[in-house]
Amino acid sequence: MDAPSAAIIGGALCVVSLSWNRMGPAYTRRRLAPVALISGIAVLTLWNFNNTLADDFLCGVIDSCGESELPIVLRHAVAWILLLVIGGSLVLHGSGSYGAYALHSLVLGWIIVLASLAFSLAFNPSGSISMAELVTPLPVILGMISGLVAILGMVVLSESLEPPLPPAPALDDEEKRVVRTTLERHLGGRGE
Amino acid sequence: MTFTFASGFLVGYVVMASAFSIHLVATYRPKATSKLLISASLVNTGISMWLSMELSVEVVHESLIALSYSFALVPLIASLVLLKITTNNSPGSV
Repeated sequence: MDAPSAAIIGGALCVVSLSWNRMGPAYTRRRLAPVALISGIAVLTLWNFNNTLADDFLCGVIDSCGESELPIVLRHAVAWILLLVIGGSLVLHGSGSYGAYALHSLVLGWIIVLASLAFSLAFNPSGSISMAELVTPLPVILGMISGLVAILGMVVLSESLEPPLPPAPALDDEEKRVVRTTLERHLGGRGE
Repeated sequence: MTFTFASGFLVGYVVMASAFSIHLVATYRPKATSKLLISASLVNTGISMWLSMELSVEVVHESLIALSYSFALVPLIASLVLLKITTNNSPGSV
């Protein structure tokens, strides 16, 4: 069994993408976030233990996968996550939360969300989700929660031990112009 | 189940520690990111990875597969939240 280096690289690229996406629009790194996300998903989905693509996308359903199920499980997870993100975005857009009420967008979004739900539960590579499969990962989830607690502890420790940062310097003329233009554009002014 | 409680716990811990270190390095800003926090996070990740070197690849695979299966409940929970948003914002709702 090969080391899952490709899965690690793919997962790391996805984390990097989410981190960059959280940065402000002024950072060049944020513009690279979609590229990093697509690259990470590509590495995750194309990865195979034998470095071949002999197993097709649905090999888990017809029980023809190789010696480990991890690659097909990851592909399966990527598929339902993408469906959920696209469907959820359409539902939020169509429901009027972020704009006008749009029935077409709402209906299409719900169809995709239900497809994600069906794909994640019914068309699982192992057949279907059982209670045992939901209880088995409890040690892993507890480990993740412990990791999160340790992270919170490190943040609190670093904030208490380091002096607070000095106030940010005032904006220069160019930065003021950019801020003014952005505000005018969003408030209905002409902008530049 | 092919992994023990300790091995599964360690895999989960390594996942979180690694993700946080990657996040800190990816969003590093000179004079704004705490060097103490980065150092502590990298040491935490290094130690947890060193401990996980004892785990076999199969155990790591089984742990991640089990975790992926449990995440399959996310669309169910998300659809309930989306249903609440849809009904709250529908035309005619108060």
